[in-house]
Amino acid sequence: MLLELSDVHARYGAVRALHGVSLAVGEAELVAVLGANGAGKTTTLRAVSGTVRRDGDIRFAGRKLARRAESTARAGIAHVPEGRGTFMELSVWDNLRLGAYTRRTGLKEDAARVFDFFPRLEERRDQQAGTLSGGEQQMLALGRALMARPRLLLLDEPSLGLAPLVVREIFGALERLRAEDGVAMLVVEQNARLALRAAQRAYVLEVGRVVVEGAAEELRRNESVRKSYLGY
Amino acid sequence: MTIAFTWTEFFQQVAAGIRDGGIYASLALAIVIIYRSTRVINFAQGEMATFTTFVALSLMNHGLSFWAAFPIVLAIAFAGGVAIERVIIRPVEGASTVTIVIVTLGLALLLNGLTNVIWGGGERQFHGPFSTRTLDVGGVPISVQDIGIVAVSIVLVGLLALFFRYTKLGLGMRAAAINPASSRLAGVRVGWMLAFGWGLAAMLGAVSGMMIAPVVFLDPNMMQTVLLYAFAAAILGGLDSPLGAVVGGLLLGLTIDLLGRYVDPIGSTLKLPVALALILVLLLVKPGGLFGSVAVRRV
Repeated sequence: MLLELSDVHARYGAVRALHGVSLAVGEAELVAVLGANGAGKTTTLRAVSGTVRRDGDIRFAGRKLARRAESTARAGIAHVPEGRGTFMELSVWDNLRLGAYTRRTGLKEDAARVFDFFPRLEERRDQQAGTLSGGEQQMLALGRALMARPRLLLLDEPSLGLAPLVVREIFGALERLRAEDGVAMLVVEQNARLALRAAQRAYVLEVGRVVVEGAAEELRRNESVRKSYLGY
Repeated sequence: MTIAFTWTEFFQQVAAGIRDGGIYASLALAIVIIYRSTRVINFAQGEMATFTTFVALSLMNHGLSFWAAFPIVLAIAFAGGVAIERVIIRPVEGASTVTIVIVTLGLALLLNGLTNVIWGGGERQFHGPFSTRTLDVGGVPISVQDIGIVAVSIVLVGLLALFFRYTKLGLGMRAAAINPASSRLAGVRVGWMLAFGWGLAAMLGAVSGMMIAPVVFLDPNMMQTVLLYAFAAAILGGLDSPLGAVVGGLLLGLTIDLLGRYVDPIGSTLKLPVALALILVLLLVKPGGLFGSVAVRRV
């Protein structure tokens, strides 16, 4: 497994958000994390990237992961956080340059790859990122993450607030990335139906614990799981 | 006392205004860089500049030429700025604004005291790199020193702009100022970026100190008035806009030099209050300052 969490706890001050989460992501696998608001989905991603206080073992590519965000980024994990983390005042191009911050070479080729995925970003290259539409900003967030040439992508609600057509474009790009570039992904989604179609496997969280896990296909077919946890 | 108006003298005043404006601009830029990255108004900026100017004086008293001392002073200023951020500012990071303001005021007093202890009070002559000879510029005699100071300011601002725009470190510093959390996720070492910001600001201050010392005299309180003008310039430009700091500095330098010379009741004594009053009026009309950018956002 590329990423393995075993018995991970996390807290915000005195409030405990994760009560022993264990999960794994394989190479070139898209894994969905589902569950209601406040179940700990976002915190799970933040525990991996080291942006929340956590205990418990997290291994990435066989090595123990350091607890600082700068180090996880350098280890090959790109986290597109809640709210996308766009640098609003900077240009689209500078946002992409920041994505490649930990790398020294290959900026041009990687940018070409991002523009191949999202041609609209190339048209808006010199525009201030804050002026992009929601969909374009999500593309930029993904593009920024890709510039780091990550082995693992952590995505927080990539479909949030986007029109269906844009969502399709984003998830199409994710599938290409996984299949062609072998990037593994851990994706948090409110939209369970959408996530289960894109993912190979999924975990359902409830109040900071994993309550259901399995192949996406199985979860999709299991009516009681769908009814009690996923609400469709 | 009224002296007859001549165009020659007018242009000389303009040159002096631009010279002063350039100095205010460098110091205002230092204030803006620190404000953008750490949201701290650094009241010690002036004393930091004075201290480093005294270091330059000592080096020159040991036989170094100005231009030999210059890079050494810049390096010392940079290291000092980084050290101040790491040792003094970092522990109060995230504290209330009042706390941080008090800390920088305390730092100003400390540096002022240190300067007095090491070099003693009183005024000294500081020999700048430029002669005070005048050159004939289109019929107007302008001193080489004024031209030199303006040139140094222009080169400095230009280099800084290139640094922030085209280097990776500059990009990291801008990013850390705008969105520290997201910068960390991109692998930017945010803590060091903030410290480098203080280092750069200290360097800018050192340059402004070394430029103004030959015009006035060097003494431990030399930068106190200059700092007030620099604050005014920074606020005029919009506090978080580097371009605004430069434009604000130049406008302020020009306006008050000309007003002081040509509007009789102002003279040299009322320059500062008049400058501040003008800025007050401007802020009433345009609360963000001239260039205080509100980021455009679409969700």
